[in-house]
Amino acid sequence: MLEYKKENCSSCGLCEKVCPFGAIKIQEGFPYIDDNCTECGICAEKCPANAFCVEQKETGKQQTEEYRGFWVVGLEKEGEPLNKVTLELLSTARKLADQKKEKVTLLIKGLQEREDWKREAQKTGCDKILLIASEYSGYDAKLYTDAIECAIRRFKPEAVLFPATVNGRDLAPRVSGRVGTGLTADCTGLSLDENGHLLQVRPTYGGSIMASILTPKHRPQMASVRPNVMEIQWTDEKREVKVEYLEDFSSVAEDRVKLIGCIEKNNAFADLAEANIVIAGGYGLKNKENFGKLFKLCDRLNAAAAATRKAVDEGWAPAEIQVGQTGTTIAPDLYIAFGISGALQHTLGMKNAKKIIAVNHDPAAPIFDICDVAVLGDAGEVLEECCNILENKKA
Amino acid sequence: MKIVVCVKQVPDTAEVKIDPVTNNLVREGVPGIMNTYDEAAVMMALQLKEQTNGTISVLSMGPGQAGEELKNAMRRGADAGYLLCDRKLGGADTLATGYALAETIRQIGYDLVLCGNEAIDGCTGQVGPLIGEFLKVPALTYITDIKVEQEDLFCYRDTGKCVETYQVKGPAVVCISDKRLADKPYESRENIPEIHMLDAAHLEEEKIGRQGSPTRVAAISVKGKEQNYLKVDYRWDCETRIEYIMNGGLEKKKKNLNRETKTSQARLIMDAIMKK
Amino acid sequence: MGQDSAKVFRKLLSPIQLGDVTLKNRIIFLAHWTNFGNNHGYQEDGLASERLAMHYIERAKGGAGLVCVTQSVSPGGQMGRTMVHAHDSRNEKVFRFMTEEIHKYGGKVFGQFNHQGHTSCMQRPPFRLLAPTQMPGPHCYVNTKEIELDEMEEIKEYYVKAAVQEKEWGFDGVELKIAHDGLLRTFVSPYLNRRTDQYGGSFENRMRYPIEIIQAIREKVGEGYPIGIRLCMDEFTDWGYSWDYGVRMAIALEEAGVTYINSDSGCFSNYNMEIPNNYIPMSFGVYMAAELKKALHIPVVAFGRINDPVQAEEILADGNADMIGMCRQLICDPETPNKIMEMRLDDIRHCMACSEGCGLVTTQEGVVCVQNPAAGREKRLGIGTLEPAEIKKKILVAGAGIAGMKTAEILAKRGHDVKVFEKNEEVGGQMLLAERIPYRAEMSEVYRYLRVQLQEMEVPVYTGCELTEEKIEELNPDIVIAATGSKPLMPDIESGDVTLLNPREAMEHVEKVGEKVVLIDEVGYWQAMGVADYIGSVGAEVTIVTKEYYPGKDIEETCQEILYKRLLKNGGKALVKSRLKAVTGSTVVLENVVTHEESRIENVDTLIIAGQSSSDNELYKQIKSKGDREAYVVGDAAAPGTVLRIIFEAEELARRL
Repeated sequence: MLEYKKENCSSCGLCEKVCPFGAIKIQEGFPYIDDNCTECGICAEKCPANAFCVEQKETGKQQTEEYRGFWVVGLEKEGEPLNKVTLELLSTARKLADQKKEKVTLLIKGLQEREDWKREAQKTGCDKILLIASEYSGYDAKLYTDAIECAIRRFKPEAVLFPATVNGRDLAPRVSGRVGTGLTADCTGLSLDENGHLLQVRPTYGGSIMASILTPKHRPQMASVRPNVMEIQWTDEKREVKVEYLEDFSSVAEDRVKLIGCIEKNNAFADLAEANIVIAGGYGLKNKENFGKLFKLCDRLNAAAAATRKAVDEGWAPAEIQVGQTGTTIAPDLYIAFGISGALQHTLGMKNAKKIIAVNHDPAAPIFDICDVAVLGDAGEVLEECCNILENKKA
Repeated sequence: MKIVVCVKQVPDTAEVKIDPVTNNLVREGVPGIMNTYDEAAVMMALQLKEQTNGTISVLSMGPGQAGEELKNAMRRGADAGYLLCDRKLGGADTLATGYALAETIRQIGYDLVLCGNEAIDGCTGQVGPLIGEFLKVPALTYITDIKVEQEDLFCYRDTGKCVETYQVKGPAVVCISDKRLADKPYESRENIPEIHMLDAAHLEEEKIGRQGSPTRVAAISVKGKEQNYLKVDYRWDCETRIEYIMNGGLEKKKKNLNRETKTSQARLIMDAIMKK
Repeated sequence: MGQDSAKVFRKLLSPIQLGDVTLKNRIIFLAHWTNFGNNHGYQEDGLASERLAMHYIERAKGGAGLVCVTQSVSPGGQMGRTMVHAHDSRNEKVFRFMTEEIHKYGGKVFGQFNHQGHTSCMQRPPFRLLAPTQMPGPHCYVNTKEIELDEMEEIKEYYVKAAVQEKEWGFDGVELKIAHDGLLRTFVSPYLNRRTDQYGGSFENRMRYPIEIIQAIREKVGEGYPIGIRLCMDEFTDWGYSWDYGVRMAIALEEAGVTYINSDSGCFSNYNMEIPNNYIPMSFGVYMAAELKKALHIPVVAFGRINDPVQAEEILADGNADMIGMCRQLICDPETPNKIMEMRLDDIRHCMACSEGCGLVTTQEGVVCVQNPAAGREKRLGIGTLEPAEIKKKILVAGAGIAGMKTAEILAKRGHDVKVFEKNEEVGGQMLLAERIPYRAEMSEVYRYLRVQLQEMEVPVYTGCELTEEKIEELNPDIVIAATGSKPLMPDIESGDVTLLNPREAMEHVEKVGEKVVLIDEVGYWQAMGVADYIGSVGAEVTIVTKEYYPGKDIEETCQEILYKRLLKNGGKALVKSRLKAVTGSTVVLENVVTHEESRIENVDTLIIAGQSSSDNELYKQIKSKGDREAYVVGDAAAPGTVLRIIFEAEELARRL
């Protein structure tokens, strides 16, 4: 509860200035706190007259010192290699654990020790793989929640990191609710503060505000992180990765929920803004058929498809994937432009791509001025060749 | 079918500005709107209400003005509105919010809880699953469509990579992630019932508000949103300013055109992709 | 319909309060000189005409929230004799009519007050020009009189008189122009104002005169009447001020009680930035509005080639402006706001900033638009004037270039049964080449818009299908329209070892173009300078030859300048007052048309002759001579010409049938 003691107030007005949520208005010399107050406590911190007091009820304090170890939850299926995001989180956990001389554990579902998991885990500095032995092959929130709760109660990790993938964002809050601890979603930064607590930084309010969050008294501290935010750091250290099975764990999947069908979506239309590789088509592809080939290529390569306004106007591509001044702005690692002239109204939408390869038959096409690799040729034909190369690889 | 929909009033994030002098949020005159995903959930609920001849209660936890969103939902056809409003609830993080809402829903009574998959201000997406956890029922996230067939719910979940179909036996919490449902047209009715005002009496004090929140905001910093326009430095000379504008701020790189065969060109491209 | 425009364009279509006035949306028709006023001679000029009123009423009809009307504030304030006088009570009748009509459509109208100050270039011969310090523009050589204090006082009184008077006549507010050229901008400009009295010498002094005017007006019109400023944020000259000065001025103006700031930039000394053409990207000016937003509390208008609602909404949603100023976009498509409200976004005809139509503002024609024949002709061709055909006829159009498509569009909208045949695989005709000239990609809008209209009207367009006499016999239409374009004419000359090309070939088969090119400009238009730019950008060294004083004589002024600069930057050059004499081997021999001196260019590999085109109208002649049905010819097939003429001609023809 935020308490205001008028008798201490010196009417300096500083509180109005420092409130990040604009919740304090000075009226007749004294602060009036409106409903926008989130009790963040910054006014109490900054008030020179101690006129604000944030009550600290000490209930539910837990023995934080007992909790040690940095965990990463992997949601891979049996038979899959470790996901990129898992490796990113393991690297992050290693960096944090090193500062407190603690260990890193990967909590993942599996029935048997896997050499490839051990190898990758070792390269990111993981100390232990804790296997949730279950025959259920898919993702089930209840199963994972029960397992992770069991593991937490047994091993008392100080922090647990979840991938902020669709299933990770489904699971992490349930675990936090089950265990009764704090969770910060979509962290873009994780570090340790001067007290060794996990400082969790995330964007909020549409990205215009960065909030730094702490979970001071509850354990474990939980955070989720999106793929491609943290970096993988390989280590050469010869670390022996122990593999353990979670004992005392037996649970069944939620019987009230049954997965009865799954239709794969074309990867070409997955999140354009987040894609690493974008293959884009323009008017120079000349027809819908070529765009069909482009979409197939994207699907196979797990790249996102994009199009110019002209191509969308022709009806060759859906409006959602239009990139440009009146469409989306993207900054992928690799942008491949087939048959795009590169007029500013398009290029302004992808100029921040890290590497641009452009294919166009017109040597004066403006896109050649801004790309990294300029390919002179018929876009449709080169695209066809790319598809052929992919086919041959398969065969 | 008794449906409870949780809605949150959020500041219109497009309107939220940062005061350039104090670096703080300027909330003056910033209107509140219904969280878009909750709006989608309300429209989904209306659809289900029609199919099952059910009732809809909308619930919101927030200050007095949040009642506007409850009225909004009732004008569209929700049957009852509950505003959980109490000073003690202030400063709640997702855990405390999830608890408070879940307990209140338990009191109201429900067969199905709908809510938006996430709020457009905080974007955590945590409250829905937390409600499911506290009510000890399944919580389905990223759901874009629900069909009811006799006793079962069929929920369609768009994970980005695929669309999964789940057969669910209620009661359950379903979190709607398709924003487009919010655009569905509706007929507005004028005669709406009074909002039920609820305080925190039925909730355990240590589990609500700031007290019940394990997480704390340690610091806030303003990160200017990446502005998407040509930025011209006033200190540049005139020719530089104009040239920068004409080039759209893009740097021109002189390079050689690859004029090889289409096969080798294609190989070049495929190699570049494989490397990533 | 799907999406609700009020949601998608939440900010753009929301109202805004300026003083006591509520605008129904954030779209403003920016003030611009039209040259539509009447000029009946000395002291009988500056009279408001019906043509002027209809121009502005049309934009209100089209849905703009605010319309701003350019006016001269005092007898000596005109930039040209047809600029209407705000202070002249003879204009009361027309203005009352105009404001009433604008209000009927839910729009609001502000008068924009100008005093030409040092601007002479709009009017020949020039008036006696006034400026704070005696010096020319410097956009021209005409010198000025250093304005005296009593003259300043007199002009200030005119400002007040005009404001009060117009308030009576139904205007909802007033905007003062401290932008482009004119008295007020010269006062605030440090380069142009070197006065040593209290009106110059310091920032505060330079701002004094405009602020005195603002305060004088404010006193008479009251607190709620909006007084806005169209403010030049950046003079874009090497002696001029940059946008930091613009922000500083805006802050001072805000303090002086101004209601809103309407951002602008450029001046006659850099006409390219005053009326930015297609070489300048769309929405380029947003940063100036954004900087104003950071510094001010009063509303800010964004400007600068904003021609698209999605961009406009983004600018507002990002908080970079409160209103969107559109000028040429609404000249090109006055119904833009209505189309936004109805979510007919594909129907919006986007201004491509070619400046060829509106650039004629300085001529007798006044403001017209290459894409919108109704601009400047609102009474006869404006919104709602298209009459359905009395008798529905079956019409075949040969050619889906812009002439054919425009004719087909209007015919279809009048209810005729139209079919279009195009022998090539793509529609667009010569525009397909025109758009490939560097920075001219937006030219494609001309045929994109027409193609969408034809689709909506369900007019079949058969590509890869030539309309022949046999087909005409088979289909037996009532009318045949030949829009079959033209072919380039090549002179019959000995070309030695040099590759001889016409401009179209040079673009279609650029691999035939070598490295050292001589281009003879015999048209003074884009076929020469434009093609020179195109091949220059792929590395050809171009020498352009013209018998005029400069190449590209008929190209729109601002583009001319840019093309010339680009020619030089690409390593090319222009040889003026010269003509092609002969080609021997790989040497091109030229002759000076005055002195007949010969000059030679050695080692030339390509010679491009940008000559006249000749109409390709065999089909028309055949049908006409047969005489068994009506036949018309339109576009290049009638006489090779410009987009401006052809679109208008096509509209006229289609309205007649």
